[in-house]
Amino acid sequence: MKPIIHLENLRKQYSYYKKQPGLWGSIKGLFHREELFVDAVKGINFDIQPGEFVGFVGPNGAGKTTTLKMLSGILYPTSGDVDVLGYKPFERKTAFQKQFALVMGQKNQLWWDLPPIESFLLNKAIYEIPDELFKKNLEELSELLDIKDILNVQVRKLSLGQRMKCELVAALLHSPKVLFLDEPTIGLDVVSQNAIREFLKKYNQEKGATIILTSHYMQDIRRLCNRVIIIHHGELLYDGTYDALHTKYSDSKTLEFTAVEEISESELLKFGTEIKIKNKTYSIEVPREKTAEITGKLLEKYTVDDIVIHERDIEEIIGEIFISKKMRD
Amino acid sequence: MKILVRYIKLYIHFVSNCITRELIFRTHLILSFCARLMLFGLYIMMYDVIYKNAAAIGSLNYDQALLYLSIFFLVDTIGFTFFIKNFSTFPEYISEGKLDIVLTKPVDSQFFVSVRYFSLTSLFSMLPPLGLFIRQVDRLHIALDPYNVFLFGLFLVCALIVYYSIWFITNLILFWVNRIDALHEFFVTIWRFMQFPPDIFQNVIRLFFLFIVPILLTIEVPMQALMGSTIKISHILFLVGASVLSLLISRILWKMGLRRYQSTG
Repeated sequence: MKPIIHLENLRKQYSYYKKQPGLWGSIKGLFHREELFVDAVKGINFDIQPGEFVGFVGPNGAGKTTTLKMLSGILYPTSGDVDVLGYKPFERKTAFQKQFALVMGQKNQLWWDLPPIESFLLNKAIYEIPDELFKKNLEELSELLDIKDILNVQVRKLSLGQRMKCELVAALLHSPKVLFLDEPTIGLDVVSQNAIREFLKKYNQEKGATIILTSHYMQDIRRLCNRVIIIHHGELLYDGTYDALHTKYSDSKTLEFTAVEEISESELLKFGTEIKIKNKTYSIEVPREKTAEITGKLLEKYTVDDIVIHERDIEEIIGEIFISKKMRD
Repeated sequence: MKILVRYIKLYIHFVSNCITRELIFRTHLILSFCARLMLFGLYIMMYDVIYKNAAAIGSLNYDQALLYLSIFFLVDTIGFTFFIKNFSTFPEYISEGKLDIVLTKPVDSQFFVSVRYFSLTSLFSMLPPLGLFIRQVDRLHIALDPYNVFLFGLFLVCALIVYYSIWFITNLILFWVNRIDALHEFFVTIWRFMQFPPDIFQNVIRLFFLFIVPILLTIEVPMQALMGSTIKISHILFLVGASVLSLLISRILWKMGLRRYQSTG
């Protein structure tokens, strides 16, 4: 199948001026400034098939947002090739722009002083959405996201979660085939995060839309994405499934349990390493392949009230991947 | 034609949203109108004082000068109605990355950033200069010959194109320097020179307003057309040429600016 998104050696370089510290440095800067360049994206390659839900992960400054901005035509690539829905995004063709949407958690498109319905109607005009389709999509989306009661309330009076739901509706009214989501759950409470996750999952499954999601919340990625792409310092470090990422890069899991009896550290060392004890809550790190076996033994030997198995933090894994890559280089 | 209808419909949406929004803030609407009214009154007082000490400024007597001032304010308030809120938003668009959303929309981005916001306050501010304009047409016994009125309208449109384009171009500096607060005020300050008849500008200043910032004839030529006076052909060519050229340059610089746009992290 022909990929819906194709990137080849995509690179983006930003320029900026070096500022000397202090007042004297600022005065000197009026006459002479040194221009510096930084590679935000360093020649990345990947293909995305129609209907995929891809998590685009990396720490701050990794190049995630810059890549999304090149995919949506906001930024011109410095070099390389980018193809989305058969178009070069930076040419900003109307036919292309009508087929995708970009939602940014930190930038909004809703009119702040007006109710969301006014922004929806404006988008209807911008995207030339036929009356019937607009009515159907608005009905369906507001039902799914539960925003029917707030359609006529000023945006400034809505909570962050309600605003993000409305941003999603505004972005999806024209039924885009490709959806770019840049940290859509940032700053939201757990309830709102869950509501948005559930919606996105359903939307991807029912509409078959291709979605690329960047998020710092690994719950978003784990629950939604069947594929994860990790980027760090503008380079791709991993491209595969979420589970394979853990299997490949993390050889241990953490067991956290509460027991009725007191257990000594020396006793726990028989099961694993990295022991932590707080009151009667115990934490031990065990080899990934022995997790089930050790859990069974603990349950057999002690009166366990509660037990949780933690995967290693993905940020930690990414950090390790990067360090090991740097050492290899 | 279909595209034109689409953009007109879109513009009606922009205007409707802005009017709804401004009507929410009534106090702001009233205070802004009062401020503009006082500014207008101040200029009339200034003309009164000048004409108590001089019979004419350049070739204009008192009544002609007031007609000139009313046309200046008409162009100014029309420009403010359509563009002031848009151009004062440019630092947010370019330096703070709010252009991102605009660039993803299937609409011409220059159109979007130029007319997205509409100022109802400025529209109301058009009433006093319009009143003065009607009064002066009457006082000067100007016969409203349809041909002259057509030419007046045509040259007024050219003046507005020059006004828009130069103001727009000034704002584009932000693509290259990234941060200048209240850059839109720069053009407004230069434009204020045009409240005086062009005859008072001589030598270098005249050349500056003819060839660097070509706004010198923007009020005089429409006024001469309305009065049925003989207009130098070179002046007509200059005004029409300046409007076409400045609009073209604004388009080219906008495209160049977009290539430099870096957004924000």
